Amino acid sequence: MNEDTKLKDHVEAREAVSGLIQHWQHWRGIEDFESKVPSDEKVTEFDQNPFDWIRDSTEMARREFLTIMGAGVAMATFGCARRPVHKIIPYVIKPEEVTPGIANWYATTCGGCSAGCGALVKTREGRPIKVEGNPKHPLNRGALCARGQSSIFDLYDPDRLKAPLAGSRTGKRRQTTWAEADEAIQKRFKELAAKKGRVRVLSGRQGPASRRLVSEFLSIFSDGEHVEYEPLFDDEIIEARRLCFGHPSIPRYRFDRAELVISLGADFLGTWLSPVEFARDWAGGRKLPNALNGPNALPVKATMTKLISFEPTLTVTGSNADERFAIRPGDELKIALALAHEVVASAGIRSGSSISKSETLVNVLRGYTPASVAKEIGITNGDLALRRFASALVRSSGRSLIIGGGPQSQTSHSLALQIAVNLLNSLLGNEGVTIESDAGAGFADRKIGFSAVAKLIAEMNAGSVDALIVHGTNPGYTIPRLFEDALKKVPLVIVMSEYENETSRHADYVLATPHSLESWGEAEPRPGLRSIQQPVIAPIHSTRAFEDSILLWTEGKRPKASTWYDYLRTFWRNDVFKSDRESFWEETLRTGVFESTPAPAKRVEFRNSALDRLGPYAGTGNSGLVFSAYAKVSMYDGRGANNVLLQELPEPTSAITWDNSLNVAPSLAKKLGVSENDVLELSTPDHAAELPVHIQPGLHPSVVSAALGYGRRSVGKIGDSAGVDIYPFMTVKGSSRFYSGQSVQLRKTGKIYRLASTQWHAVAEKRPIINDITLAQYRKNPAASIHTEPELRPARPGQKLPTLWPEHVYQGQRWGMAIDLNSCIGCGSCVIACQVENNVPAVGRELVRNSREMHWLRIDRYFSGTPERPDVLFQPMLCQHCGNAPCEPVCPVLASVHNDEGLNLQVYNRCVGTRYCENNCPYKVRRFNFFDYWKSYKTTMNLAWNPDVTVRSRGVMEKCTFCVHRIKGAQDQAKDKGKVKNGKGYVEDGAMKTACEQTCPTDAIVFGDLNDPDSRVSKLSRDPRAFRVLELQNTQPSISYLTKVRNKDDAHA
Amino acid sequence: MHGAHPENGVSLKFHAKLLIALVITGTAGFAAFGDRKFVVPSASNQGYAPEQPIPFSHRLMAGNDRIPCLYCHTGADKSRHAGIPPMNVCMNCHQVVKADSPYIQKLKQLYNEKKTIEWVRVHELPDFVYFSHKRHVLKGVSCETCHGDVARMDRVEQVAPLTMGWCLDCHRGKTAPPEVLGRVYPNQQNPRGPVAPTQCDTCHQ
Amino acid sequence: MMRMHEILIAGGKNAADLDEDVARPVERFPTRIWWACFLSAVAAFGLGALLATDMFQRGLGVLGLNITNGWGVFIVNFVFWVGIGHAGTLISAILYLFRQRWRTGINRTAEAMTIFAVMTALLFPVIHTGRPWYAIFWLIPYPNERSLWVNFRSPLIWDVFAVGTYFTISLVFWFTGLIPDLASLRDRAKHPLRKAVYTVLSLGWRGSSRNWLHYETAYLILAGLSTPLVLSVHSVVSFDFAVSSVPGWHTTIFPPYFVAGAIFSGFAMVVTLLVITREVFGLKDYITLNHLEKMNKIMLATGMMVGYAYACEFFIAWYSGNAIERFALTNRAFGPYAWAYWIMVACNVAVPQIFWFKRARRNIPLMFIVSLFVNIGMWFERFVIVVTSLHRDFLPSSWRYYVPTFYDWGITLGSFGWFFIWFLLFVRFLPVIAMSEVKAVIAEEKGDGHVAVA
Repeated sequence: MNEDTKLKDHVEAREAVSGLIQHWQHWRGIEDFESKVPSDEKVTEFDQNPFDWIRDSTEMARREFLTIMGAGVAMATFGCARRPVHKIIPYVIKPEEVTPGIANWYATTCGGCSAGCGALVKTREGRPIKVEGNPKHPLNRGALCARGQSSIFDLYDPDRLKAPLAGSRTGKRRQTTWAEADEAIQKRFKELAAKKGRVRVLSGRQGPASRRLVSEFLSIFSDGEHVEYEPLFDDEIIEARRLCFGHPSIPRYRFDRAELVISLGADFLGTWLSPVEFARDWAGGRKLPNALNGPNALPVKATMTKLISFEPTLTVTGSNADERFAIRPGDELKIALALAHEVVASAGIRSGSSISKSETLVNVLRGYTPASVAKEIGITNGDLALRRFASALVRSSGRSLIIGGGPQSQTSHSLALQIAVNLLNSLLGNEGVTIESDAGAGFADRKIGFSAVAKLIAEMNAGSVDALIVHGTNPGYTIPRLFEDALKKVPLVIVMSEYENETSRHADYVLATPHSLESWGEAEPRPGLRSIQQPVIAPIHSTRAFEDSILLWTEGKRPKASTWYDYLRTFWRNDVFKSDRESFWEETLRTGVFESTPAPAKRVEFRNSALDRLGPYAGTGNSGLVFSAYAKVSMYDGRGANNVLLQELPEPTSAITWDNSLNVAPSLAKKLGVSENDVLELSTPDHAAELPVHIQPGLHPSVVSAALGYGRRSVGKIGDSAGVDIYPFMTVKGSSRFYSGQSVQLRKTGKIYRLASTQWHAVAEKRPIINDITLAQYRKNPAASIHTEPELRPARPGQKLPTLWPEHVYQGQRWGMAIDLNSCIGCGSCVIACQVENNVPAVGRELVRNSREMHWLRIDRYFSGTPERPDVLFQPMLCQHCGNAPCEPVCPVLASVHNDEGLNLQVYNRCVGTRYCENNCPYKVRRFNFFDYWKSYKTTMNLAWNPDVTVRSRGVMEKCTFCVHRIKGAQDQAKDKGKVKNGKGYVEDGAMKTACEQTCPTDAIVFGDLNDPDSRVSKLSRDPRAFRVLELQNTQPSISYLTKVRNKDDAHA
Repeated sequence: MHGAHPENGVSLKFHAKLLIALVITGTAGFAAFGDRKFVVPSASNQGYAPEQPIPFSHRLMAGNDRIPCLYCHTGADKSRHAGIPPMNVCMNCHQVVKADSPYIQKLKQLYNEKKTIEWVRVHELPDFVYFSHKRHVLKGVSCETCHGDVARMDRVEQVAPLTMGWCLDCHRGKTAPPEVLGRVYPNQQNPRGPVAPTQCDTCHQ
Repeated sequence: MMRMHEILIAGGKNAADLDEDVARPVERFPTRIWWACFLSAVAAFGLGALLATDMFQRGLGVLGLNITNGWGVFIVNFVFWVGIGHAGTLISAILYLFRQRWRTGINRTAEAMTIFAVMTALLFPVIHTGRPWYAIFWLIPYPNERSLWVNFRSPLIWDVFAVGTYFTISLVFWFTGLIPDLASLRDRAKHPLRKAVYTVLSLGWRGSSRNWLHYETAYLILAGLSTPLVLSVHSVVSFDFAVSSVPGWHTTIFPPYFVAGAIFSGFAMVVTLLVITREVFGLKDYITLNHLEKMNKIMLATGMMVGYAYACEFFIAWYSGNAIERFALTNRAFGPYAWAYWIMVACNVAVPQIFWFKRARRNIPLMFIVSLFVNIGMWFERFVIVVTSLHRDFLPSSWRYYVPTFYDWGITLGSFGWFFIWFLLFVRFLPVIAMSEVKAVIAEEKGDGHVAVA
């Protein structure tokens, strides 16, 4: 009933603040509302802003909205109380393209990280509610990672800066106006321009247009420099390619062309460079033929890309490797050279290769015999393995790919490692095939990476920097102490950021910048590929784009363009389209991407001189405890720390949310006598921190690892409280920094800190839940099942079991799903996509500890094999929409019912919350609202709700609906086209995708009509690999899982 | 043996009768009114006819002037929401028509100030109900079926109960308008039967 | 005859003494002890009510439940109290049909206890739901303007009927039995108000032979009606679990197992209460050691049935060859909740064995302690069934642990408060012994021609 009472005081509230009445109507997005004519001069077609009320919104206003969102329930069922008076606010002038209730989509670029994936943004009545991958974008081809999916929450984050700030660096801040700030800043710049001031701009990776804009700005000053820095970016790759090929660049890695991938630490499926693109390409090579039953259909010839991984900590990539070895950070180099040694020894040097069997090469490789290396890095039978891999590499010369890098293996050997990698790839003739280096100038003209920052820091310390502008990067956090100290010596520091952050605390001016969904921009993911970023909503707060500010300050020699928008447009006309055709621009806005015919990939010749950097055999490294810092798919470098969805996304390998842990191998834990959640003090000579232990299979016994991106000091309510900052452990040697490889001490503190984990038990207990076989077994019998007790499997596949109730009949379409465990990499983007799409709340650390997480779609991970070398298997687990659903007969009020399309419906407004269905669900996929979670969505967060999905109030059970609102939408469209079957619109195969399917980078999830024998899903569900979880329970799930196949043999490596 | 007083004999009959009477009336009452407001208060707002900021008369517009519903409620055949006309639609005519009327003056003033009228909502379904005007209009359900004879109303009133049972009765064909029945069962003499799905997800998602 | 009289009424009491002894406590001002008990009961209930109110305000999150353990202490309490509610009807109905005279001394109290226990039990299905304000309406089938009905396939709906029917019949049965005694209270009453109330309640009983005739017939019919209910109620309650697919719940032995357990716990509670009542109200002559010894014998018997059920569950789990079933049972005895399991076994199987000895059976303090142990043990039996089965079911990925919170315990305590409030009011305002029936026993001994029992 409290919903009722809420409703009542919501009525009073309305009377009280009648000024706000008109507003709540917008939020449901299901009523007309007035359009504000944009106050600023630039007017674009999607530029009405219904949200400026938020600035003066009061608690009342929120309560009103929330009440309506969640508690409208009460209104219908208990109309006894006089219904509150609701107002309808029409537009003054309705924008042409807006029809209330119908979504508009805009193409733009994802701002989640610097990879530059293309995005499509769904807006309702001018309010962005979902970010999806852009199918037309050649980079991510429709997929998006967890960070990208969750970026919509950053847009609406209440902790964002709402106006420019000025004030002393002691932390006392006062809000200021743009005019005021500009006046002061421009005055300072004028002075600096006059007296040969030295001005520096430090930013994240920038697009060409803004790079030029900045250079124009800096040209005002006699001494200006633009430095770009991405904390998790492998600078060594650029440097190594300069040394090896005379061409500093990030090449394009073609995983789609590789049949054997060896990753030396690089987490290319999770966090390395462009994970979505890589995951898509890599998974493409691992798809198995959709074999149908029958002995003659045996896939004897089936092949798949093989992935071998050597890594210090268990990452997404490692857990998907066919063969994985836990190593110490720094040993990657030895492995690379051992492989090179074997390759040269066995196959010699390919004719036509630029590498000469010079003295240096021999000297370098001499020491690195597989035997010695294997012995040193402590892999049992490692020499055999290395020999196997080397011969496999030789066998697939030109079709293999060796990569290395990533923070977890970034040590003082990193540059050498990259050179060794280049050497290997050149020896095998992979350069130019699986690795394409661009014809362009690459990074030659750019000051990028830590070396540049180190130089900048030196200048700052020398007091030779008069003004520093920081934007899009947060060195105060990612380069702690060093940069913060240096900042104190700079007279004028301007930080442009969406949040207050560790850097801005030392700034004279903190200028609020808009979210990527609020501003214009562009990205150049790779040469010749340009991605446009267009605003899909007028700035919610009083923010101004970095580029607009720069333009404004570029007084005097100001370019023609008056706004960043005009500048960008002109830039694209002259430099990208190289044509005056306006249609170009319109086209690009529609597709979001422009691909100029790429110049032929540059032939690169390996320069033997690079080998000098390698030096002879290093000999034994330190044998003590070594530290390895890595990045989680969720937190990445820490920029998303204030995003509640990312904080609550379980780490794929550890299932831990909301914190970073100190991962130790089981054997090491035994040796130290520590158990899960014990707090240890991790210390190096110059830093110490206390972290809770997580016992992680698949770690080297002398390695401890922890994730970066946590322990933010000033970002917002959510990020500040989460985890421990690992950046201070970063060691800086000259102009390079290493996240890993430090030797560390551990000390017991006796404290206990309970990590919020979403999975306590990671062994499948031989139950018929998962299945994985080797490629060899697959070729012999695709239906093989080795890990489960036979008695728990049906006697023969598809065996019919007796049921108590009459079975359902489906005349029309019957919805079903197939999930290929062989493709699923456990990256978790589906989890976030589902959350955003279905208004699934995050519940916070404490409730996750109490096992009350709300994820409709979770990813279970199971370990098999040994604790030292575990095989990992990820299994997306969601409502199985059973044909014989155990939840249905037990619900006393018919809130859990079956529909005529095989959907297992949950009727929230009917549910009374007996939780019987939850108990009776063998898959435990039902989620109960223990509290009114929607209450935690404050002010702007309320704009993120999806109006097509009911917001659940407390006391109600909820679960995956197969995105029933999307199905209904698709049926609606089908009906309009006249495609009708059995009274309903007939949805063509693939015409409608669920949120999880849509965003999956590896196309592991396929949704469709099981009644249509030719649909992808029913083909897959008939595949011999297909099995259903707990089939013997006779729940007859609509979801089929396809057995994971591990490529452990060499014949077809 | 404990005492027996004559008056108790009376009271026996009396009390027994009383008891029986109560039981009977109770059962009868439940049986008679059990399916309506006597068991639980009704959720319906039938008959709700609030005063509007401007005495806008559908009788004049839709009745006398014969302006089609879709002229103003443009969303009705495109979207879930029929929609309320934006101010400029009103002004299309009222720049000239009855421009001197005080109400039109008020309208004009608001319009020039880029403000809008706050209409009081009459027909409202709870948030967990996903009703599509489009589907119903395209199926040939006339506006009057649910909104009543608006063309005769000076002030709009909720005529239908808009309760779930009422929706279902129509979907099941019991109360469906003949034209719709005819459409669904074209080759039947006097068609009857369900005219629309009654799955839960038809309206709740 | 003589022997029976010897056993059943001590101290050569006659009808007058009986009226005096039984009615006195009802008529005089309540004792200190009564007030002490009553106020503490009210306090306990108050705490529970307070916590429950807060729970309604904030949501079920205040409890220890999680996504794996959908049910916890509340359902345990529900089953526990329904179980308690068994002894009464068993004693009054079945023993009545079997002409067990010794029941007369205790049936009134036992029936009262039954009714209050069921009233307590009924609290939990409602408050354990997420939205009780809807559950109240929507769990009961009635025609409504949503054109919606309940799901008659759901065991929870069966519960509504089973427990509802049981409660109604027991209540009527109990009240019918009360009528003659209410009449005698009426006749003794001095205060007009008091007289008025008892007059209305006694439905104008005159004690004429016609009254007795109707009375006996009605009583017999009701006894016949309630007999099957004794077995049906807890069978239906057990369906809540047996019908589900949860390993550890999904077993066919549950109905008999639950009924046996219910009688077991019911009798334990009767003993607990009677030992106190006879002490406090000086009814030793009417509730004699022989009564209690008979009860202890039944406890011994049902206790062994329960023990057999425990063993049988394990056997079936092993025999079924279903690995998941096997795990569920092994997990009970040796998993994280092993402590609860062994408390259960100790209290329910081991402790009652002492009743093999006559001296133990007739030792008041001892039997009191044993009965308490059995009450605890039976509560834990339900805890073991509900919690340990749920916390580790099919998918290891969702194995969790359930820890009841202060709210769980507080509201549980409140339910005891609620029960005792009613029971204390009962002993205060109604005769705790079926005077008329006992009189029949006395009458026989006196050779008086009037034999009440037809």
